[in-house]
Parts: sequence; C-alpha cells; structure tokens
Amino acid sequence: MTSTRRIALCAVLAALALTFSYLESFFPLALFVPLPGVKLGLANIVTVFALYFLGASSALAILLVRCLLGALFAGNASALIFSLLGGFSAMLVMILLRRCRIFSIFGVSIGGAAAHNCGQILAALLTLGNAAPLAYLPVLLLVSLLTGSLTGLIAALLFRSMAHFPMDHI
Amino acid sequence: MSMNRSVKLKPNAADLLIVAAVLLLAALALFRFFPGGARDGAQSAVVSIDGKIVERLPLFQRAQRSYTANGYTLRVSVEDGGVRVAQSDCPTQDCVHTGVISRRGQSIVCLPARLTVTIEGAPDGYDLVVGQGVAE
Amino acid sequence: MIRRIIPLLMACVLLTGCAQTDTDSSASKTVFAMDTIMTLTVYDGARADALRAAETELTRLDALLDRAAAGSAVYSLNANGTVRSEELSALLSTAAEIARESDGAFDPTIAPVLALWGFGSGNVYRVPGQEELAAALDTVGMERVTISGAEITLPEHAQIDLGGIAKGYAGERVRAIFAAHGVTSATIDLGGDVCLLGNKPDGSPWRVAIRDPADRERYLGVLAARDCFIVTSGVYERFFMDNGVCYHHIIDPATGCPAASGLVSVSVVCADGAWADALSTAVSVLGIQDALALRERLRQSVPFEFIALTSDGRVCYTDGVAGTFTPDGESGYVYEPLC
Repeated sequence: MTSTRRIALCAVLAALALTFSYLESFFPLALFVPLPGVKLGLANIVTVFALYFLGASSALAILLVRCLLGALFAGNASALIFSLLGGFSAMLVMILLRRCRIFSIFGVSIGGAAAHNCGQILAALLTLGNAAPLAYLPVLLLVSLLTGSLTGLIAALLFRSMAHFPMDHI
Repeated sequence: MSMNRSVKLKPNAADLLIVAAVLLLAALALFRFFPGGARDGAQSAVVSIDGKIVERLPLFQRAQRSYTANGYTLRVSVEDGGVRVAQSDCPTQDCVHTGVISRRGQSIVCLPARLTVTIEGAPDGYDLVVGQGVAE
Repeated sequence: MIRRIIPLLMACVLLTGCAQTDTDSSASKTVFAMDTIMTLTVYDGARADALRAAETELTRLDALLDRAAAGSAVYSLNANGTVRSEELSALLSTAAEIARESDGAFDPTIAPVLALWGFGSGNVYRVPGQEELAAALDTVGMERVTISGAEITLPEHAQIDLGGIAKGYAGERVRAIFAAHGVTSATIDLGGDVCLLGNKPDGSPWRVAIRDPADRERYLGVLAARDCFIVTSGVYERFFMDNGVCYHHIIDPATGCPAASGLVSVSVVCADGAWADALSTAVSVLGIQDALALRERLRQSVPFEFIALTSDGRVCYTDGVAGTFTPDGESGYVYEPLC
C-alpha cells in the first residue's frame, strides 16, 4: 500500500470512528452509569480493525484524530480527557494482548473494552478529584464484556469477508 | 502491506482467561467499593465539591441542603434513610436522574458542578477519644 | 512462552494497579501530670529522646503551674499576691487576652468562687449563701491582675487557678519539643483532650471519637483532624446534687453560679493549645449564640471550631468541621450544623 493510500484509509477510518462515537451518544448509558462523558466504546471497532490491519502506529494516529476532532465537534474540552484516557488505555492493552499471540480477536477486544472503561473511570476520578466514580467500575466492567464481544465479532466478520479480496491492491 | 496471516478470528480457550480476568476485576471492585452493600444505621452522605468534602449528612435524619458549585446550584435532600439530588440547574441533569441512593459505596455525580454525593458507612474505628464521660 | 506472558502480566498490572502502605512503628509513654494521665505517642523522628524530653518538661510545668504544690509559681502568687516568672507572666497574658475576648466567660481568677462551691481541691460540695458568693465574686476579674514584664501582682484576696488553660499550654510545649526532635507525626492525649501533630503515618488524618457524656460506650461522632488541639469541657465532669438540683463545676464568672448555657459538653478544635483549652470553658459558659459571636470575632486571629451537645439532645457543630465530623447514627441525638 502506498503512503498516500495509507493516509487516505486512515482518514476514512477516523471519520468512521467519529461517526461511531457520535452514534453511541444516543445510547442511554447515563441511565445505568450517570457519569457524563463515559461512553460504551463502540468506536473501538475501528481501533481493533486498524490495529490488526494497519498496525499500531496508524491505529494510534486514528485514535488521536478521533479524540481531538470528537472533542472539537462536541465543543466540550472535558470530554477530551475521557476519550483520550479511555482510548489510549484500550489501545495499550490491546497492543500488549495481541503481542501474546494466544488470544483471538475476541479476547483482545474484550480486554481493550475493559481497559477503555477503566480509563474513563480514571478520567472521572481525575476530573472530580474524589473516589466516587469507582462505584461504577463493576457495572462498566460487565458492560465491557458485551461491548468487547460485539466489537470483536464485528471485526472478525469484517476480516473474514475481506479475506476474499486481494489486500495488496487496496 | 497485508494482514497478518496469524490473526485468530475465532474465539478460543485463551480468551476465557481475559473474560475471567475482567470478571475478577469487576468482583474485586464490587467487593472493594461496596464493602457492606447493606443499609445500616450509621451511614452518612458525604458531599464533595471539587474533590473537597464540604459536609457529611447523617442519613438517619431528614435534611435539605443547597450547594452552589462552579456556577450551578443543587438541592440535596435526605429522607427515609436515602439521599438524592432533588433539583439542579445543571445542563445534563444526570445527578437528578440518578435518583435516591441509600447503600454504602453508591454515589451521585454531577460533573458540570463537580459535586459528588457518596454514601459512607460508620467510621471504621478511631485513633483517639476525647471527653471523659461521667466522673467515677 | 515467557515472552508472551510478560506482556499479559503487564496488561493485568495496568488493569489493577493498587498500592499498599505500611504503618510505621510507634513509641509511647504514659506520664502522670496535672492531675491526669497523659499518653504521648510518637511515630517518627528521635522517638525515645523526644519522649524523655517531653516527660521532663511536663514534670517541670506541673511544678510551675500546680497551685496546690507549695513552691510552684502559682502557689507563691496566690500566697504572696505577687511573683516573678517570665513563663507564668506570658501564660497569664494569654489568659488575660482570652478573658478579654470572651467578655470574662473564661477567667482564671474565678478560683475563690470555685472553692466556695467545693470545686477547689479537697473541699466539700455545698451551695454557698448569697453574701459569701457576692464577696467572692468581688475578687474576680482578670483585668485587675497586673502583669509588668515578668512581675505579676494580684489584687487583694484574688486567687488564680490555671486549671482551664494549663493542660493546653502543656500540650503546646510538648508539641514544640516533639517538633524540635524531628517528629512530624504524633498524638498527645492529655487525659480526655488531645493534641494532634501532623497526620497519621499513612498520611491520613487522625480520627478522634468524641465520647457521649451520657454513655461511656457511645460517641457523638468521629472527627478527622490534623495539626490541632481538640479539648472537651463538660458539666458532667464534676457536679453534685443538692435538694434535687444539679450543680456543676463550670461556673459563669458573671453570676458566680454554674453556667446555664444549655450546653452539656463542648469540644473545641483550635490550632493553639492554651486557646483551645480556655475556649472550651468559654463556649460552655457562653452558649451557642454567644460562642458563635466569639468565633466570628476571633476568625482572623485565632480561628476555632466547636462541636457542642445541648441539654435538649442536639449536637451542634460549626461549618468548619461539617466536612470532617461524622455523626454517629446510634447516639440518638439530633445533628444540627451551625451556619
């Protein structure tokens, strides 16, 4: 893949990730976890895909763009720390888990989802300056099992269908 | 540039390790931050603004309080052994929607006002005692 | 395999990440001084030396301030009407300042009136007659005590008792000795009153339970505090019954009779020991409203907080401790923050 194509693909994926983070804001997570700024982490689908398909550096770039533009569009600087801490925790854990080579894409994305939610709780802890948000950690971890499986499933389906295409010509 | 051939697309036994780890962490967090879980008579609602505790309201006694923090005003109400944010002029209203909390470890968070209400159990012990009690 | 496990372990560490702190070992000493048992506990610094120096100092202060001990500065002052002592003169100046600020609610010259009621040492409890009470009250008035340099002079018949300030002052001295020995974490239990130095060794504030005067097994609540004195005064400490009326030892210098402020117990939190000690008496005499006014007057110079139990079963506390005082739900009292 040429570098131009790579950049274009990264941009498309970043746009897709932004769309996901916008869409998941419609999910009424606040009913269960009344911490504004905490998100399900559906945008992690893009992170998982990018990590496997383009490698860690491109995935990091996409993540950074998604977080910055997301905060810009939302006009909310305090949301930035949530998405940054969530996104980067997820990325780091997924890179490490993937290096282990024994886990499938499901395991990796579940670990990423859990780390994503831990990172967001950390962001809430930092923002509020006290330990109150820790009370939502158990429920968010259980939620991450579902969202992690979902992102893993979507990424797996994606790769399976892409296996029929000649990758080298993208 | 092509996809790593060794990508595992089917869930395997090793994945269960991760699921177990997440469940364990959730259980630990549950155990750690909901120590008793049950209601007991000596609980209090700890109100913090900007991470600093401003008041401890005993849950066994009705009370109405107003707090102004970071430009927003919240009315906190203690009744029937529980506490809730009865009214708030914050844009998200998440604090009001949380409703009544009454168990140790539960909390209400208002991010715009940077105010939290957390339920704490009876103080677990003390280091010193003042006051001598009735003279012998 | 190991190369695969290490990243996994790192991921797990990232997910959990917790810390544990150890508490340091402590050294403590029990000292009998000022008619009470004091317990000094030191958590760091030159522990043994600090405790030894503190004990020496407490013995010295006892010999200086005990009015019953022949040869003490206070004994000489009361016996001769005058004495030279730089330290006593400094302490009496503080006492005079507190007496002035509290409109005489705290006054160490109340000693003759206390003795009349039998609250002095070795006396028999009795209700004094009008005339003898009036005569004793005439000798009361800290403003009439002359302090000039180290020279202290009492007006005729006046007597001084530093019981309401000496323990706090002693705590202040011990705290200074501890600090000089590099101690940053210590508690000084002055027999029902405490001085807190720094934080607990784990960095958290000390947790001080305030005993319910009606039941030794119960508490009004627990106060989290650091670097301060917490001194409690209560009418229950000494009292007697006569014809079904209860007479207690907190005498209002304005009337010469037990204070009728409606307060059963007062715990004062203040950075200064002598002030904390004297203010606990002053607040007990003044009652809630006047005590709040006094607190407002002293806001700039000697800020203090208090937690008071009223005779009608309310526990009132000032806003400065609202965030650190945890009421005890089993006490049966009504809790009322003061604004």
